[in-house]
Amino acid sequence: MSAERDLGGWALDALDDVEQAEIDALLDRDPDLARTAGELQRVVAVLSEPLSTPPPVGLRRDVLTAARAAGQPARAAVDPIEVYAAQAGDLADALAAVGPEEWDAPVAAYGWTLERLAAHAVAVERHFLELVTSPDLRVAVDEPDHIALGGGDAPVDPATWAGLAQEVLHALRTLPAEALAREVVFNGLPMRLDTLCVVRGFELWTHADDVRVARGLPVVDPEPGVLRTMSDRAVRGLPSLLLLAGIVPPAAVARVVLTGAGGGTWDVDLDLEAEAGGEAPAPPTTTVVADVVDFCRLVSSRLRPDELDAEVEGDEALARDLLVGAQGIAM
Amino acid sequence: MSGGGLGERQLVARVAAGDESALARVYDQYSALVFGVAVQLVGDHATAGDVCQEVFVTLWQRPDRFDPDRGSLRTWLAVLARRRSIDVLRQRGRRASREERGAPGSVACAPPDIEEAAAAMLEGERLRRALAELPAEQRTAVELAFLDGLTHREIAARLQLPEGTVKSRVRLGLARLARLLRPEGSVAAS
Repeated sequence: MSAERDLGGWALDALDDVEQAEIDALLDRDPDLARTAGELQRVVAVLSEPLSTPPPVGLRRDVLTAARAAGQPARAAVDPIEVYAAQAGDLADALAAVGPEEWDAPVAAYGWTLERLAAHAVAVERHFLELVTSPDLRVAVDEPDHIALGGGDAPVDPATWAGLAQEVLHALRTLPAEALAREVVFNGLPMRLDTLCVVRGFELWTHADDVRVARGLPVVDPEPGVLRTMSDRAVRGLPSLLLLAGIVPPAAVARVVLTGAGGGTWDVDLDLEAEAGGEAPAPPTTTVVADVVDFCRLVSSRLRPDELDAEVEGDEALARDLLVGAQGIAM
Repeated sequence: MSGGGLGERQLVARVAAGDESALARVYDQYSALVFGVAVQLVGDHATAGDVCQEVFVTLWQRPDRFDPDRGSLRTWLAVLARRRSIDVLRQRGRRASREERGAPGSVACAPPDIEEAAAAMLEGERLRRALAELPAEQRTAVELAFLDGLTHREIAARLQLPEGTVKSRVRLGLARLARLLRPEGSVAAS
C-alpha cells in the first residue's frame, strides 16, 4: 500500500533519494507495479508537452560535439585468431552431434549431403593447415575448385576435422605477431593472414549452421565479440570487395550501421586512391542500416541482398552495389 | 502500456551502434520537449541547455537504459530531463517559486501556468479538460510537484498537511489524469 501511494511521487521525482531507490528496486521486481508506474510516467510526459520550448540554435552543435567527445563504451572485439577458434569449436561440436543415420541429410545451400560437406571441410582445413605451417606461408598448389569439391563421398570422421582445426589453431598461435600481417593467397584470393582467419571464421560459422539446418535445428549466432570482428573486417574490406565483384568503387563515402550486439557504425571511404589517415571523409553518399547478424549472413552468402532487411538513405544504387560486393568474402 | 514504436526502437538501435546521424535525429525530434522541461524547472536557458546536453549524452552513452517495452522514447527523455533538472535544483539547495524564477534580472522565461500553456497547444484541449476535472486539492499537489519540482515533504510543509495526505493526493491526481489521458482503445493498468 505504501509503495503504491509513492508511485505518483516516483513518477514526478517528488521522493527523496532513499524513497526513490526503494521504489526503483521494487519496480525491478514487480512487473505489474512497473506497468502502473510507467503509465504515470507517461502522464508526466504528456503534462510536459505544453512546456516544449525551442532551444537556442547553437545548442544542437554543442550537444552533438559533447556526445562525440564523450564517446561510447568500447565495443568488445575478439582477436582474429580467436574468431577462427570460436567458430572452429562451433563446427566441431556441430559435426560431433551428427547421428549415424543423419549423414545423408541434404545441405540445401550446396545440394550436397552432410557427408560431402564434412569431406569438403576436411579438404579445406588441410589446405589451411598447409598454409599456416609452411615456412613462407605459401601453399604448393592453390586450386579453388579442388578445395571446394573436397575429398569426395568417403565417410569422414568428425574427429578428423576437429583434429585438423586444432593443429591449425596451434600453428596460428605460435606464429610471430608480424606474420599475421603478411599477405597470403588462399582460394585464389590475396589477403592478410589475420583477415584470412576471420574469413575462415565466416566459413566455419556458415557450415556449422548448414549442419544444424540439415538436422532440423535452429541457426546459432556467433558471440558479440566475434560478430564485431567479423563485421568490422567485412565492412572495411568493402572497397576491395567491390572491385572483386567487378564494380569500380566510386570516390564516395558509405556509412554502414549494423545494429545489435557486436555491431557498430563505419564511414568507409570507397575511393581506393584515398590515403589512409588522410583528410576526414566527406559526408556519406549512402547509408545502409541492417542488423549485424543479418549482414554477416549476407557476407556468408546465406542471405541474398534482396532478402536483407536494410534501411537505405541516399544513393540506393550504391547501396545495392555494396551489398552485392559484400558477398565477395564468402568462400 | 504503450511501448516505443518500431521507428523509435530502430532509431535507438542506430544510436547504440554509434550512428551520430541517428542521435541528431533524436535531438531534432525531442530537444524542444527536453529543453522546455528543463527551463520550466531550472528557470534559465543556460542551465537548461546544460541539462539538455546531459540528457542526450546519456542517451548516446547508455542507450541500453531506454526500454521500449516500458514506454516511449518521448516519455523516457521527458522523465530524464525532469530528473536532471530536479538534481540541479537540489544541488542549488533551494527551490525558487515560480514567481521568483520569473523575477527581473534573472535570465529566465516566465513559466507558464500549466492550464494556460496547454491552452496554447492545438492538441492541448484534451489535456486542459483533463486538468479541469481534477479536484482542486489534487491539482494543487500535482502542480507543486510537477511545475516546482517539490518533494512530498516540501509540499506537505508548504500546504501544512501530513505527508501521507500529500502522497495520496499526488498519486490519485496522476492516476486520474492517466485514465483521462489514456490513448483511445488502450487498457489501463490497475
